[in-house]
Amino acid sequence: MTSPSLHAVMESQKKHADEFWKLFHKAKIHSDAPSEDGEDDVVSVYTGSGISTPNRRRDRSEERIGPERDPMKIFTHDISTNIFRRLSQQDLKQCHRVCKRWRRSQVINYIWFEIYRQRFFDGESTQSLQGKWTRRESRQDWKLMYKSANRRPFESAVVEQLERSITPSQIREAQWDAEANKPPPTKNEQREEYKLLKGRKPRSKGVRGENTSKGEDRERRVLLFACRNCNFEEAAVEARVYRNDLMTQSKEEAGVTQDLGKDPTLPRTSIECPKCTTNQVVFFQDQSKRTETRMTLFFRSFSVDQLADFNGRNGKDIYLAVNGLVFDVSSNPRIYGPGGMYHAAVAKDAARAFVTNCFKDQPTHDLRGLTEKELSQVKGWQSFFDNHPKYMLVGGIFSLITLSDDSTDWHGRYPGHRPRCAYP
Amino acid sequence: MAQPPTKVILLTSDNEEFQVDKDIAERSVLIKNMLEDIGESEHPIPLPNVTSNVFKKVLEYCDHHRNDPLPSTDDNSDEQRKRTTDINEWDQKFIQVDQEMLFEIILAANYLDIKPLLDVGCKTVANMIKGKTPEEIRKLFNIQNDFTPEEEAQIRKENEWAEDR
Repeated sequence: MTSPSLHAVMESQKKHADEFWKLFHKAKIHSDAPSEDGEDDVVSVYTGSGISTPNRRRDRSEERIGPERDPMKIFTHDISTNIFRRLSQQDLKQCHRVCKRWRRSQVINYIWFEIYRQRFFDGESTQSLQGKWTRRESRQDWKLMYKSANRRPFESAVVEQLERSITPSQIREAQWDAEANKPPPTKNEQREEYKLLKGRKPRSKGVRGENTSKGEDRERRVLLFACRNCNFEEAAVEARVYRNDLMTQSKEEAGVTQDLGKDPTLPRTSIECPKCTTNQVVFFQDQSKRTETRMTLFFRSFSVDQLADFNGRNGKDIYLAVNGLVFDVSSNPRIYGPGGMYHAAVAKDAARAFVTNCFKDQPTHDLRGLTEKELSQVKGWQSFFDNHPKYMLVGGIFSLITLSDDSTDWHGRYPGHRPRCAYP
Repeated sequence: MAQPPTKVILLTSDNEEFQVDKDIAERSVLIKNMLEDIGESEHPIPLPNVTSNVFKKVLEYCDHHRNDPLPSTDDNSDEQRKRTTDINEWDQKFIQVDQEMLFEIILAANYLDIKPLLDVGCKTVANMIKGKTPEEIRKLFNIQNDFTPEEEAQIRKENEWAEDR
């Protein structure tokens, strides 16, 4: 129901507003921005959007000209920490007032944590056990911690607190004292107590297969031998407690399912087993469950299609392959992740591109036609990833291994990553 | 023993080749490790994270500092070094570049693992922040103030205590 004249008025007003803001920002650029940013791109930032009237948000960001260059955003935590560590407390406080990202920043919070440790734990390094920065620490606001601890001299604060409060252990000791002074319970009282417990032993920790074991009598604070079957108890001769842990066999055989070879879900390949010379090999993880056993991935073979999934998107790990060896490079998403400089090398075997440097055009594993020198470079890259502390060899695409040196001798070159014979 | 220094060929992301003396290139721990991995090679080492104009600056620094002792790898050894903002004269002149370049140099130094250069860059940024008001810091880095006035007052309040330094 808008009349044409009204519509025209609105149109012209809109135009005016557009003009105004264009001019306004241009004027701004000339007046107070001697920045290196090109004018064109500034103008396009502000006129490119189709909205004619400036909203509130834009009102507040009048001074924003050109791209944001927030160090917190551009740099990694390491670099930011390196920068902000050099600031005084006064400066750090000011930084908290800059914007929400800076206020919430764990970088600055960590530096307050360091200051706190420095001040109250006398420079005991942050590497020590209590001084470690863990997730729990990161949830605390260390500026406020520091502030409240700093209000008065630290020592007097602690002493005062000790005097005021009674620790739980003091309460317990007082209880034990009171009970020790009580007359011993009569037979009837003991029976009542026993009924309450419904026949369970009061306090004893037994080890299966032993008649007696050491328990404890909390009230009197002594160790006891207690029978698991009857009510018999006697005081232990000495305070030491021995514990026998039976270990289930050695790591290699323990708990390994014997018919692994029949499991159709396991990946397999045709490398020859050096022990029994069959060439049907499967890959699996070490199954022994001793606490000392670290998790060991024995080996894993990939198909080209499987590898294509590991590109760092949708929460997947980032894998790349060099001449058939698959490496996990997820620890460095800045370089290999989506948008990273080396992302083109990811989720495929682009061995050739590592020497020709054309990941875009020739991301192939085909090494034919390369010179001796170039082939040795491919190997160099392979060992670079292999020896890098942050990257891990996770498997192989066996059909692609063409540089045939001793790299099939997994036993020698990759201890812990070796094909295992599934038919012992 | 007067043999010419070995050259290393480095290839930046915009495909420019640099012939660099080995001892200069080895100021970068990344390149040093790579050279140790690869061994003698006449083929360029690609540096896909560094553009040529940034790399020129980095080389300028490495060239000037080629005879410095290598910094200790022990991170905890010098608490003092991590906190100062003093930059020596030559470095100060060297690092007088625009902000974008400065950030690029820091990122490159981090990527190439050149600790002293990274420190120089970080010190410079720290010096830029030092003694500034929040408003000045925002202007410096083009950051938008996203606090409401209440939040701002709140933070100002929690900041109210006297430091001991």
